[in-house]
Amino acid sequence: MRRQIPLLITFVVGVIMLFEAFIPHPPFDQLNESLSITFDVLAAFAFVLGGGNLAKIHLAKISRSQPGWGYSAVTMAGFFAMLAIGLFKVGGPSGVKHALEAEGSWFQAAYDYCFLPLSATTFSLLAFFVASASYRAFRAKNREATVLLIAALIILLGRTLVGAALTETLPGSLELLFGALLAYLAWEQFRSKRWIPLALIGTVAAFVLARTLYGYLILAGGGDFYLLTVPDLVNWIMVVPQLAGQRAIMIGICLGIISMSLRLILGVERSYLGSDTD
Amino acid sequence: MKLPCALALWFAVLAPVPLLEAQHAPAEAPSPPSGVQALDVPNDSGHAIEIRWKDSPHPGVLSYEVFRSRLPGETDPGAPETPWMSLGTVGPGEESWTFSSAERGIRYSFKVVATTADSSADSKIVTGESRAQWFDREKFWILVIGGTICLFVILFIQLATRGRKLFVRKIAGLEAVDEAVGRATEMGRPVVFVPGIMDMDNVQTLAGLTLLGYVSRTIAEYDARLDVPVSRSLVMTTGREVVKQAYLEAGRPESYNEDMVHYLTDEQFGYVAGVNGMLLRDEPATCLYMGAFFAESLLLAETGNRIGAIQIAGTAMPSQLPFFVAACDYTLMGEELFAASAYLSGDPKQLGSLKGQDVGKLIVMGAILLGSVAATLALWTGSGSLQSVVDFLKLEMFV
Amino acid sequence: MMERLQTIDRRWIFLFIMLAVVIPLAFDLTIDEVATPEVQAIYDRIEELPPGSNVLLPFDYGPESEPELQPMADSYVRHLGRRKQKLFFMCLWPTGQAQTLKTVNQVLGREFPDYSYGRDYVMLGFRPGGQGVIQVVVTDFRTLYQSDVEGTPIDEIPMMRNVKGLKDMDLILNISGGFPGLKEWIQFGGDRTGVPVAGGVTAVQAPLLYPYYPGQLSGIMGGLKAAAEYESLLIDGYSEAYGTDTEQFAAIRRMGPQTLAHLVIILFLVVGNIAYFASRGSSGERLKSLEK
Repeated sequence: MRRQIPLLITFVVGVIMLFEAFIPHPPFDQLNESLSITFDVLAAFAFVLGGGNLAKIHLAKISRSQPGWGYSAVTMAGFFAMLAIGLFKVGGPSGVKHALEAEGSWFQAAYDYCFLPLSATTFSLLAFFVASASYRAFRAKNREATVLLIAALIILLGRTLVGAALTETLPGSLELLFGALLAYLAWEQFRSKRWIPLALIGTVAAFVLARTLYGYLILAGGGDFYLLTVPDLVNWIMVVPQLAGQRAIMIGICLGIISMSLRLILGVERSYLGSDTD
Repeated sequence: MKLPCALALWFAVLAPVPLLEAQHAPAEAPSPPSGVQALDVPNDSGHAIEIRWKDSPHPGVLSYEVFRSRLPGETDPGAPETPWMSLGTVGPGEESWTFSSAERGIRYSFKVVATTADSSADSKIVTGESRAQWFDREKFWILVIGGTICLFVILFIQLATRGRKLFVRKIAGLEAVDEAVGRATEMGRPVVFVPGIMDMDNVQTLAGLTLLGYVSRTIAEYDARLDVPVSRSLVMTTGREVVKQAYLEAGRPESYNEDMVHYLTDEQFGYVAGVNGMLLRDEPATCLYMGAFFAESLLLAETGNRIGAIQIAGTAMPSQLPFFVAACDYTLMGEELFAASAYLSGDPKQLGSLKGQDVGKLIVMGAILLGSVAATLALWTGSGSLQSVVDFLKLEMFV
Repeated sequence: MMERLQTIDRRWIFLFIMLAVVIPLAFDLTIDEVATPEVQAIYDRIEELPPGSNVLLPFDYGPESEPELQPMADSYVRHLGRRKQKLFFMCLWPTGQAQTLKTVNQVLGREFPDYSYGRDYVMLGFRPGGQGVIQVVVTDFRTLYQSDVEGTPIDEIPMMRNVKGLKDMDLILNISGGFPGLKEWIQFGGDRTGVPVAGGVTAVQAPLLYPYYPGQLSGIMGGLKAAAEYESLLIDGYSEAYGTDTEQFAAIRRMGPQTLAHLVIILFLVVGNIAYFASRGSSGERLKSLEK
């Protein structure tokens, strides 16, 4: 029984919500909204459980003087201080009508001078962690990792002035770089006597280099010729390959959600419901 | 720089010319807006009426103002008490206005007033009423495609129940879970499981919790230590049920302790600070991150990497995948997170649902292929019928 | 040596990043930006709106992403103020209201003294419920917002008189630091009502939102760089108002440290890879690893 009733509720509500998406007629138009609000009310009440659990664990740690109880003491001091300041609207005008962030309220001061700088500090750690993680991760260990590394370098360059300056002062430098890279790959193919890849890569390399040289001739003669710039390349990476990959992942996720939701609605997946006996 | 200067010049020198002409022209009342209609806006819950009219040929019309009848007892603070309420004003050339706050089933009267510099003309009064529809026709194709995918998922669940064997490819990250838990046991250090920072109404949290069930069963069997810090109270209560059930199934109910799953805070970075502190103090051997993550993904995973923990992550947040891939040993990407519980349970019914999902992928791949080929050919050949195929895919099927 | 470089203590990296951030800040290094099409699209969209249009500004972020997002918020309001639009502020994040107040005080308060509350802008404030709130205000603001942030009943606010739901807006300009945010405004707000949606997000989130541009999303700004681009558009477009004074343009000033930090990361990537290849020894071995 402990499982049957929740499963039944999940099924009925799930099916109704599936239909709701296609029916604009009342009462279906309000259903989603009402259920969202119901969930929020439940979640708000459940906070008592979470807050209670937090207090229980940390107060126990303090009273038993377990290792690291000092951290628990700081946690509890912050928890109860904010609770009191918020509940009694210390400093600001009290009463239901007045906002917590009203003029002079301690709550706003605690937000501005404690919460805000602390949150910003934790978030800014990202700058350091991104640097150390990318230092480790972006190594040309294999073919895929090399492509990733090159793309990352181009995007990073494109996000700085150096990127734009590079192709502005040295037009065609990207083409020459890719041409050189392709020529190197062709050379590797030649050494290992793989003729078909050699022909393919060699043709592309020759085309890229020839086009660049032709461009130089035109530019030298005062004409107009398009040579790739770093900002354009960055934009292309973001809008074409990046976007394509992102879309594929998103489509996969959507299908995954459909199948997961159906498993939940049909009661095939029920491990999240916990124990059957109690 | 150049554009604003040009604009300023235009305003200063050229723009006043037609106005001056208009002032000198003899006053002439515009012809009233013709062809006025009040139509119900389709596919909604009955709260909108569209008022349409024909643009007046009179060159001096400066604007159209749309009015509706005032309902009995309806007041408009600060406005004079007239039987008409202004809905809004649009410029010349416009031919419609949507009154989007209509009460369902009430018949309103509307009129459109064309205004010139010194006179105005009322259209004839029309009435209209908004109605609710039982089916949103704009979502027809979503229903068809979504319904097909759902049908295939159900079909394959049925087939699997009847004992048909289904192939599922290996997911390296999940194969590694046992090994990671075993390592924690050997080292005598805890396993930390983070089920994301979203609440129970997020399907990723549910997927994370089903995985928690599997992981905690393994942990109970190995008799390792488990630590699940959560950032939502409802996730805490659900997580406890899941872990308790897993310990029961593993035959070790006595090892279960409620405080294995404990609440930290709802606040994102407070939660990060709390979990990172725990990681640095307790130095767990294994960290699992399964659920919905935001900026905290790298903050957690990089700290876990620093303490040398084996890390397996899984999320369907595409923006956080690169961070997990960079800092963790294994990453379940997007759909793999949802497939994980089916994969680990080995339950044929659940595996069947994965097969149904693949049919969805085939449909999408077919549509993408058809669309790109048709769009390319339409561009080359200029064929109208191919373009209509592209438009159908773009505008009708996938709005 | 090369092996040691490969497993360098991460605190050295942290030190270099810190220097890269601190030095440009100390010397006030600024860089001119050229707008990308996605940023230009938002600027143009605002330019095209007739004065007096209703623009909804949901501020869904908190102090943690303020350095990236506040310059966007300020720029949007600055631009909308110059174009004399009506501004409706709201937020799905509890922390959003404090951020709204910041922009209102710093931009509207200082630069647009003639903007009056209730006539030209209104702060509806925070309502809990995430994307659920969007689904509700699609049809009617009054279901959730009986009063504004100061407790004034909605019906007593003049600019709310002709506004019922989201459909009465001419543009949704969201700034978001995560969930719920721009994606939810597209899916539950823009798509359901047909009101154009545009906005700014943190650089990390931006790739996630590119799939929606330019169809469901009229324009997208990712991170500080985009914010700086928008600021340079404003400086160019309203040069008579701002001249060469970039004092109030935070993103342009913050781009200095970001640029240098990027360069430091590039340097580390290059050094790390040189160390990796050098420690792998001969090119033959390297070829083998390439073929893996």
